[in-house]
Amino acid sequence: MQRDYPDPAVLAKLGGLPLFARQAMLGVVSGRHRSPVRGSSLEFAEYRKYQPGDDLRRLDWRAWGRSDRYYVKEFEADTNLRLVFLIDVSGSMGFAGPDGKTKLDQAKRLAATLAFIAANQGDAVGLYAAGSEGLVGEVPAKRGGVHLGVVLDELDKLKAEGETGMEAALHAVAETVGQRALVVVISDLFLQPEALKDAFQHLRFRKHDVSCFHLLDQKEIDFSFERPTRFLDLEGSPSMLVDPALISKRYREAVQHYLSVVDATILDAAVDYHRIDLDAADDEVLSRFLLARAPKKR
Amino acid sequence: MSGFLDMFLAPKLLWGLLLGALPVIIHLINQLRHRTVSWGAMQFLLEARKMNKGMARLRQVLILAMRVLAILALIFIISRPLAGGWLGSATGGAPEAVLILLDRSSSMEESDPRSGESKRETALRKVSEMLKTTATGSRLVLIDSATLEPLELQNADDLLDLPATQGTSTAGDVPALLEAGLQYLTLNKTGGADVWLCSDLRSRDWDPEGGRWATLREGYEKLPGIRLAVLGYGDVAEDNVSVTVRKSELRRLGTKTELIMDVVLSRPVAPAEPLTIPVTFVVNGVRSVENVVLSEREVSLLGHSIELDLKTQGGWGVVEIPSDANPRDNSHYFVFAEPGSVPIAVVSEDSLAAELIGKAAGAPTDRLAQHEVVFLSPAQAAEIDWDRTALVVWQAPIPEGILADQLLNFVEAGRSVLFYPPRNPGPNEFAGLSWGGWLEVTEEDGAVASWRSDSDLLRNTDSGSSLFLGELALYRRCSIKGEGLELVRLENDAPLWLKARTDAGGAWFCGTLPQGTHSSLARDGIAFYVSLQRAIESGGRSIGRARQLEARTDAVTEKEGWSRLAGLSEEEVVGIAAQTLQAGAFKVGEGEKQRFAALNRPASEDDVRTITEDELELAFGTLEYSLVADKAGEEGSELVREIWRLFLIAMAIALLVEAVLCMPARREPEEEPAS
Repeated sequence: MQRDYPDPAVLAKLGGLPLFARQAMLGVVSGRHRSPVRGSSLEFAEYRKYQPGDDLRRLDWRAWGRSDRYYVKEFEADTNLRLVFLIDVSGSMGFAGPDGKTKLDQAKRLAATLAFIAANQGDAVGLYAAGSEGLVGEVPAKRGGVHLGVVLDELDKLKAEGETGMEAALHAVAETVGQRALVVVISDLFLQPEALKDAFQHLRFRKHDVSCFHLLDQKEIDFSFERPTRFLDLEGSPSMLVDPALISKRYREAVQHYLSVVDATILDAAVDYHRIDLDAADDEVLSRFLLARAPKKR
Repeated sequence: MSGFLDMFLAPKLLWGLLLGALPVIIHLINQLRHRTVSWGAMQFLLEARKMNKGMARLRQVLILAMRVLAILALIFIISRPLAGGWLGSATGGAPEAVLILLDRSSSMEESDPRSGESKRETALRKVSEMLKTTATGSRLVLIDSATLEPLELQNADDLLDLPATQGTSTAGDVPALLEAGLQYLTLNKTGGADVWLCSDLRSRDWDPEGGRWATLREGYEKLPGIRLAVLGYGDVAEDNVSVTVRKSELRRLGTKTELIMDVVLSRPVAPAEPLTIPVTFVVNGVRSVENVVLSEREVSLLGHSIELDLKTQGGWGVVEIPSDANPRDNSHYFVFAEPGSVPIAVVSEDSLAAELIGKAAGAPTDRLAQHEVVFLSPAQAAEIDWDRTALVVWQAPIPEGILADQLLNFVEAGRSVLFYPPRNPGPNEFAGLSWGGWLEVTEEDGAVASWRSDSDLLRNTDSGSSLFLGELALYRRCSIKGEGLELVRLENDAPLWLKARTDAGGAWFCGTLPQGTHSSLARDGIAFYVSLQRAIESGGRSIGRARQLEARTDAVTEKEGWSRLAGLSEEEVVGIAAQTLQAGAFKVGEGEKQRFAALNRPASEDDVRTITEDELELAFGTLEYSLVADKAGEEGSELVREIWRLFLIAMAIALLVEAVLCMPARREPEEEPAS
């Protein structure tokens, strides 16, 4: 199967930027991500009073010498990451730019590149697709190169069709992914902002680190049409013949209102949100995403 | 529909109105030429469309409407729209002929005090302006009430300058005017014509209940494509005072010679406060002034005497009052002379008839007048003094040969002949009329169906009273053959009284005798007496020394040598016929043969009653017409005017509104990036 992702050129431009989780992850193997479980590691966390039964090897003798009290050194445990993609495959994701590339194509490229980076650093990668009936594709997160191949194959199979089932899919992922994970949602989010808010909060409640790539073409924002145009609904509803001169002002008002509500929802649910234009270069999008997640130096 | 098309000088260009659909068609084509786009963000489109149902949609409709309006206005402009009171009936595509029936009567000279423009002048100005706009290429024909002669005009401006459109002191006769119009239209067989009747709607001029209207209605209805409009000036100047001399007699009392006059001043309504009016008397060039107080609607100055030179045998004068709304009724001419007797010849083969006729003819209405009746048998007819006689009553077979020629010359000289049927009617005819045979009359056939009450011998009296001919009982009558002017018609359509067609004077044929065996003419008396006296008066006009006449074309004739003494000068009015339409004093002859004539407006012209709309409806009956009420000197109410400027303004407004509506909404200024 031929695919044009992950693009080596993009990977080269990213220059080996690692993927970090913004919060502690629970993993079974060692990795580069913080774990909520304290353990022995290289990263010092805190001192704790010695209690009978503690491993004497972890007793800080220097602290005993200075204070004549027994302290045990606590280190943060580093673990691996579960990276779960939720990709919107509703009809509206079939919206194509002038070069013929659709939003779904862009979603696939972004997901594949991130999956590759994650797999390379030993993280587990999973893939879910949101179709008209909720979750339509499901690849649970696993580690390893073989699994990455499975994920990429599954990405290849995704097609944009039908109405959006994003709301149900978000809730389903929140419930399906048992352990803390970095959930990357890639969608045009054409659903009611109120429903979106509930779904994101559900994910946050399940302690997931949620990131969202909101794919929105500039034309969908500007509505820069001049002549009367028939708009065919990619999700199957009846088409509409519209005179842009009549409607464009109201359209832009509606879009601005929607975006402002989305922004408020994102802020409220503490989602790592990235609005992405269809023309945006993948390496720029991803480097911005990865750099924003890198831990700040102390 | 034709009414609407009549509003345009170039109605064919109105087909261009179809272009008004162009913006809508372009809009629809534009809609059809849309491109198709696959779209995901339908929720915003739906929301925008829901929000857009109000103003924006209305705006779009308005833009389209403005574009349509601009095109329609443009088409209207090039179709040359007209506006005016006669729209829909009297304008429109230029008709083949345009007939202007102008009332030139004295009352039409009533003027607007501010502009000084009379009703006649206003009517002429407006009709002229309208014709210049609407009647390009039409034949323009003027018929005026004074001459009733059709006159073809070169262009509409002629209406303002021609002598035939100037004011006169004559009476107005609207039915006669319409008759002349009908005759012209019938003779010239015009395909379609606009008839514009300019009148001041005086009841006496219109005679809405007169018998001629039925014939007029019938005649006009038969003509195809006739559009009739009345330009009416029904307003009456309530402060207009008129002066009339009712009597002017020369009286010799011992060593004094006096002129005794009855003068009447009147106005339409009584003044609020008594008015003192200086009345100027000019007699044989000598002027005197008498102040008269007018506190009622009418005041009479009876028996006003002016002492004259002892040797004065006759002369002329004028009574004048100060200028007011109508200059035509501010003066009244009079003439005076020693009264002489009026000879009347009764040629009869029936002694009873002769006696009755002699009695009625010999009792003049004026107590100072003397009627000298001479009874002659048919064989003595050659003894008639043709030069002095005013009336010949001929109750004998119609003469032939020299006698017939003498009788015809007598009539042509302005005298009167009244024919009554002889016992044995012969085959001879006079001026196209002859006697048929005697007929016994049944009750049904003998009833009078109609008679001419508006003019001639059997007209109503000056006060408007009828002569009661409807009650005439007829037992025997003699039929009349030939064509003439019908004065009395019976129920069986046969004429009982006809007037022969002659150039001057009058020749009447009465188809029965006055005695009780034939009719109730003598028994009822009024019509019989009045007709005789009027025939004498008519014939006497050309023989009396001082004659008070109504201004009209044949009041005095040049043939007799009449010349003007006072009134308008020769320079102002050329030709005696035109002069006789103006008030003035005339004379003929010298020394003892000198005779005078005063021409004035008829008394009916001082009657200010106007015809009501109901009466107008009654007169025109089923005939379609439109009435345009106007006022003397009225500006800004042209009968018709081009109104393309209005449509130009409408188009400009439409385009301006369209431009404003199409203007893109002002974009919010983009925020400066924070430095």
